[in-house]
Amino acid sequence: MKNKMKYMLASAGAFVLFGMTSCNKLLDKMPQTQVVTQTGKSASVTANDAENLIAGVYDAETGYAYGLESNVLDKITNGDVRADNCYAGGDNPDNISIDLFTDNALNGNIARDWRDSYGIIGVINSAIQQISGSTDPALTSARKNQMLGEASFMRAYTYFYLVRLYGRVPIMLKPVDQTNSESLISSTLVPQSSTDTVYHAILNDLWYARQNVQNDNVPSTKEIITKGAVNSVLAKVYAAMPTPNWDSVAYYCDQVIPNYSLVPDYTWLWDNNHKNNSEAIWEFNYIGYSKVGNWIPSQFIGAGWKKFETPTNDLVNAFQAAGDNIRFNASIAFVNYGWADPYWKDVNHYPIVVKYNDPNSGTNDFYALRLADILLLRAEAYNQAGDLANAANLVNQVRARVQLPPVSPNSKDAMEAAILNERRLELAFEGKRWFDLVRTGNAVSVMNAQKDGNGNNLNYNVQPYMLVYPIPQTQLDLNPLLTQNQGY
Amino acid sequence: MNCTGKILSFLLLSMCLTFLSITTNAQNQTFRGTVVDTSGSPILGASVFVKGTSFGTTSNSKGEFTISAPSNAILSVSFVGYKTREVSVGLGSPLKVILVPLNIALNSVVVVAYGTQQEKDITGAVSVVTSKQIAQRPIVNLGEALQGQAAGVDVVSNSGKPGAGLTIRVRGSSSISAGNDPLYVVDGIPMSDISTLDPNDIASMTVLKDAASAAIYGTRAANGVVVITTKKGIPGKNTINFSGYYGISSTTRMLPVLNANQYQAYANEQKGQTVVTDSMVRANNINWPGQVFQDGHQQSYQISFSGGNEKTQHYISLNYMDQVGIIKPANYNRLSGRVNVTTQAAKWLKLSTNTTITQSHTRDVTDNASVAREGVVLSALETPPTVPEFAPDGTIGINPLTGWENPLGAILGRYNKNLTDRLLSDVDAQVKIYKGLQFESRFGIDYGNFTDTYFLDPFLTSFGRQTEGQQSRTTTTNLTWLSEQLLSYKANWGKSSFSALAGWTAQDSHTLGTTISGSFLKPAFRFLSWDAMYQRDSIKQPGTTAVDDWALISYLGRISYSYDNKYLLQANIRQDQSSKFAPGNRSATFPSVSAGWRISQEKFMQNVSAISDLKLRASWGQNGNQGGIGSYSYLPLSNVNPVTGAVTAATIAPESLTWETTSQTDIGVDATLFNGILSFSGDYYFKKTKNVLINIPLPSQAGFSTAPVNAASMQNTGEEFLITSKNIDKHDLKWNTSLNISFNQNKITRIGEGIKFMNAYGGIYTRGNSIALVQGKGLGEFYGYIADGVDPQTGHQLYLTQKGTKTDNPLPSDRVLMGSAQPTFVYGLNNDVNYKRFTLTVFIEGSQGNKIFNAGRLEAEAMVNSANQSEAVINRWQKPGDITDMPGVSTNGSTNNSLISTRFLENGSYLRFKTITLSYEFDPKVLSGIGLRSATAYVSANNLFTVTKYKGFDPEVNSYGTPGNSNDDRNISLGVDNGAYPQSKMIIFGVNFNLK
Repeated sequence: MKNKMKYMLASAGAFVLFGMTSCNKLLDKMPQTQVVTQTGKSASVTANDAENLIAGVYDAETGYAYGLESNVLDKITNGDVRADNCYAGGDNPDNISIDLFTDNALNGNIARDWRDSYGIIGVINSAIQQISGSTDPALTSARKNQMLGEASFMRAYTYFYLVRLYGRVPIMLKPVDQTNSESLISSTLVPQSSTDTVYHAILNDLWYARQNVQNDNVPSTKEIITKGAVNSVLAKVYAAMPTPNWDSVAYYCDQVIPNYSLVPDYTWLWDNNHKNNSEAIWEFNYIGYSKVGNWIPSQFIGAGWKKFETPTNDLVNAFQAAGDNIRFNASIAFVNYGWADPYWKDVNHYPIVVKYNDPNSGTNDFYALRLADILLLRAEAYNQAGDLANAANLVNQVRARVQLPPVSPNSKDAMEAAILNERRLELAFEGKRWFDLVRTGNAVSVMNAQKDGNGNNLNYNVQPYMLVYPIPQTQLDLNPLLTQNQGY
Repeated sequence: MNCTGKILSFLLLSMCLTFLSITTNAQNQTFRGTVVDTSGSPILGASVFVKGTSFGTTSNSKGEFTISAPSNAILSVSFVGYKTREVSVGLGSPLKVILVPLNIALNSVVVVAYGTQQEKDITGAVSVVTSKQIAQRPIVNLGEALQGQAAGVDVVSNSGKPGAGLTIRVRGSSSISAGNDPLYVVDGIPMSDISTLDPNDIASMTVLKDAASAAIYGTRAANGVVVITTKKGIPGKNTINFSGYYGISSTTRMLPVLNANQYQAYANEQKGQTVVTDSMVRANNINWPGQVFQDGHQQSYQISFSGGNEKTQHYISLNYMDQVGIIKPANYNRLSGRVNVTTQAAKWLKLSTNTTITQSHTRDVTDNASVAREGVVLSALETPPTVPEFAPDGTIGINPLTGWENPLGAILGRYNKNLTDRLLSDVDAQVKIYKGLQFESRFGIDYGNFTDTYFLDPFLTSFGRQTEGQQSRTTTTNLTWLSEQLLSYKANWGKSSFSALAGWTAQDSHTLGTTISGSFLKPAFRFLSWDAMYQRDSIKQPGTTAVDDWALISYLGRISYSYDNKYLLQANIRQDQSSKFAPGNRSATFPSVSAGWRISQEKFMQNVSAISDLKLRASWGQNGNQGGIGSYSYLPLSNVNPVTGAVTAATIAPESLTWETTSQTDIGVDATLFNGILSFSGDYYFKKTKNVLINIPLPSQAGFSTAPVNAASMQNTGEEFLITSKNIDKHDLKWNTSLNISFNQNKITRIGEGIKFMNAYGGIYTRGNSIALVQGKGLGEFYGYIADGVDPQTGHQLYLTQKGTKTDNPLPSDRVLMGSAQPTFVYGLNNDVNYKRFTLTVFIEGSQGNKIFNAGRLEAEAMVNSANQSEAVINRWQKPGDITDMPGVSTNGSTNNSLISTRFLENGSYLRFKTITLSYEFDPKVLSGIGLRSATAYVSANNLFTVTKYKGFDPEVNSYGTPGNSNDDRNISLGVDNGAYPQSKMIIFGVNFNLK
């Protein structure tokens, strides 16, 4: 009996011991399908990690990581629906109120663009910190700086979008401080900066990028940032700043123009057979659903429900007045899908956007920057400097491609109007129009003059404060340091 | 303390226990006896102990026992449900011990943490639900059995969808962003999901509510622990039992919507032109809610075999249940089998195993989503009556202005199926080492295989046509194992009884998920099986995997002491080491202590005949909570894109992340009056939780949506009462009533990081957030504007401003706290009336003082687009001078007429006749002729009447409580109705046969 007991106790003890000896190991669990972000001061990522991090920045910027609403659809909504190119279409109060200038701080699109833009910035800040901390000898300093330049460029591009949408915005150029929870929270509560300060941060990033990114036409696709993209955005920034600097606009445009050429046929830009063409400066590549498909065109094209971004009477009239058949046909089609609305009352003659023409397989690219935009911007700079001949020369270069006769406005104002109209027709539905109207000071007057198909005023009643969106209420609720834009 | 240190201390403790067990021996003789009940029938399994020792035996199927004891010994004979008797061995051999049945519940045996206890000895706060309260009710998810039956436990069905989950809170919510769900311990195995258990197999559920009862479960105890035991065989009672029911369910209420003519008038007014033509009205006038809601049904069948002999007992069962909801095609069915076996393998060794295997199928249908997001309920309300079922080409009809499909899009156009296989099994060995000293070793596994299959039709739906169908399948397997080694010791000296428990446990979980998905399927293939279609998808997205691992290693100890059955004392301690926290921050210790004073045992109470039993209880302890904290939440993580390999920062976290600690004090009283006719139990508790995890929603410039920090503090105080009464107790007529009522006051005492207010929860589609987290208030605090009538001139909804003026364009600063989603109290009232062979059970359950935000009504009265609207909008403002409380249509995209406001905040209180059951027990004499021992037939009405002012489908709703929502939403965004699949009422017919 005693022996049996001893045996039992011993075996129980052994079992317990066996179970316990491995205890520390049992508790060491690490994630397998995600990676731990290297946040420590002495952390160093490998060259390979760095490549993946910069790829992640591209994923964020082109929408692979954010679902494309903010990256593509809203760019067109904010640039064309808010302006005189499109009505909201569809039946979504968020879009309709952006179109009719009845939007408020609860608008879902406006909240989404803020959220996703800062999401992209967060990804960039984290990538910049990790890549710059890499001490892996396999990562050459040239490549490292190149990546940091690309990331800095995309951060600047995102802030440029934000400052034009919202005006004063908070600047975050570093990842949040994760030392402890207090620092974590306090480092995210950043007040808005003046637009001047935001533009200063944008320029800093662009200057850095310009020193470090690849030369034009070197990378295999136009999605990779080159000096051309940086110079283009520099030119656009100088044109959009509260006090434009036309000398700088001219300078940076001139850095871009020699390295690119217009494709001979305007329709090549949209036919999906000429991706990464000689005109493209920065192009978001969407190769279809096997990777990431651009599903946004399905929101514009197709029978059934009423689609978004209906071209306006005013835009159709502008194309017709210009006799611009090539660009008109590349941009707009009339369909008889079976619906009509107060803007377009004829069921058999209803316009839709067809610049993005693949609603099914998701292969339409999105041009963030292309040469025609920069040529016309350079024309503006010539005009600002009083050089009407050179301005006309560039405008006519763009017109010649679409078989339109040359123009020769004989005053600065007439030239400015001609360029603005040319930009409208050339860049329709590319998310540019609203920012052109604001930049040139024409937004309030142009929008308040909008008429419906019968020539009746649409009474948008645009007030100057509406040139920027309200700060989303969700953000005001979360960050007490933010203040609402005046008027909202 | 390092690992070795812990092992050493554990061994030391074990040795101490061993020394304690060495007590004096006396000269023993062998005595024989029988244990019978008052009718003279033998009682099998009665415990026979030599008083003052832990030495004992049990009676066999003839009631016989043999025991070795000193010649002057006193034997203590006890059996569940009978009064314990003490007899002297000197009364002669064989002894005849007659046990008298008890009618005082206090003396019943209650399953508690790591063992059982007599209810009279319990010093903590526990609630018990037994198989009797589960029987004859159409319970699908076992948690439903706690609703209204256990004081201090608040159970809300999140929706009426077949197989839908529950939100269960024991004594309120203690966390903000971690889990608030209790821990379940099924036959000794801790787990978080009990949905695969069949209610027919359950013997009892004990809810450990106070810190002291639950502390032995350490970092998982703060939300209460539900200890569940399954049925075991009873020696000598071999029975074959069949039970089954069939029921038909229907909606509790229908919500009227506009018909085609009314819709035409509305839509054309809203659009300012003819968008709905007369011919469209003539072509279709479909009442979509009527089309969508159908009669559902539910059925359940069980056959069980139980019994055994004194050495080996078995319980074997096979269960099938099937539930078809009131909105097709949602359904749920479950097939499960169970084998529970206990055997006395040797005098010193008892082995037992409990094994259950389950397969369940769920067919889901999307709810809690707007019509734009294919939510079937809001689609039923908002699809225009002029939309046809199908377009001429055979595709599903759509609202031509929005593209939103009619409800058939959710019903026919896609499916979402889940298949769950789960195996729960444990093996337990109890080794008697020495007098009173026992070693128990348990090893258990919980293995699950979950397959979620999704299909979007490439032809029927417009989204499907766009991507030519979509398919995805996620297969997840989980294996959790548990190893427990326990040493226990029991001893009595004179009037003192002492028991101790020490143990070591380890639990490890490994989850692997794999997802495959494809699209671009030729529509001709759309009738094939899922796999056949997947094979033919011309585009396949890259497959992805997900791995999740955690482990927990713990040491536990418990000491109980009682003196003279009067003074009771218990202390618990558990140390946990969890893999969910950073090394160096993994170890946590949770102590507790509780005491009881059985005043009725005192001499001065002996003359108070009205009081049969009176006990005061007090307890204090600390519990932890790591539930809902992700396995790697303490690490900042980046996602890896499966195509590009790109790495993007995804989460941030402070390394200091830790568990939450709840300290709870409980004071309670249990009283039994008038010899068991009336009994009362009351508790007051005070819970304080520190280090509450909160995922602080970050302003977007952080680049991350949330940051988890242990910054908040929470407080819950409450009172709970249980009164049971035997109103009539005659031979032919019995009437029992039991009432339980629970009050809980929940307060966030600190949010932390300088934050006092966050309006970041309870999102309403295109309207913003309806719920704020507010320091000094409870969870689920609604936040919005005060609606104040409609302007007769403009038809605009008016709101009160801060200054008290009215405006149709209020400022965000005009928003106020509108009310709470948490009830003041919840209650359950149960009445059983037994007349001869008939039993009538009426169970009423309710909730009082809570508000519901009716976001479904907001959508159905918004009048901002071409969606169909509620019949209520017929009274809308149409021209200046109209006096009405319904605003006019909104033509410019402005949602100002339907902001989050008091207009849509409704009284959520309800009183519900949860079940009314009439059963008849057939005469055994008649039955014996046909080979039956007993038979019962019953009819039961469930949710037959509900008294409520709520205007939605049903007041028992919690849209954000459903799986797929974040912990934050599940905890904070209470009381929102985003168009949940409603509860149904049901009539069931059931039988129960017991074969000889």
